[in-house]
Amino acid sequence: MCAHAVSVAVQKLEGVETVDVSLNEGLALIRFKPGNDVTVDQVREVIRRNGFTPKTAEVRVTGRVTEQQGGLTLLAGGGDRAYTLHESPGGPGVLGQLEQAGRNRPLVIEGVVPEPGENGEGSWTLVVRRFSSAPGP
Amino acid sequence: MKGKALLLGCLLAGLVPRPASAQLLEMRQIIFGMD
Repeated sequence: MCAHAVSVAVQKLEGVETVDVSLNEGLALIRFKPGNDVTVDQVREVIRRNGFTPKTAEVRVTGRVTEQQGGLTLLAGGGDRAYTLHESPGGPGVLGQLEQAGRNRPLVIEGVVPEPGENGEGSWTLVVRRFSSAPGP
Repeated sequence: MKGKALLLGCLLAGLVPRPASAQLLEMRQIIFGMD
């Protein structure tokens, strides 16, 4: 098991542009191609299959915020799944701002996807730190 | 009922656009060593 094997395996996911793995830092930095359908879950599964344990992830994601079951979500993976958005302790009120800003246009959202739980839960939670408008078409 | 069936048919045929889904731009994933 080595950094190169993990890097090659993640690179094979359709939609992944570049992968840099540093075992010294315990970090995999992944950049994605425009229009990809890759999910955090898929990346973590590849990492797990290559003998490593994925922990917390910081992500930048672009998309439209929708309201589902009383909460804000971000559809992902072709629309079959959704990230549930949560407020970070350091940014009170950000979800309210997000709801206002995201009603009619796509946003770029930066946040944290927590470490997966024993049953894999956590990969569909996004704790929002900040957001901005997505670049125009 | 007919309306729902028609909508379902259109969805399956790809005629009704699905909601745009999010795209990952960048991911910094912390990984620990071998299990």
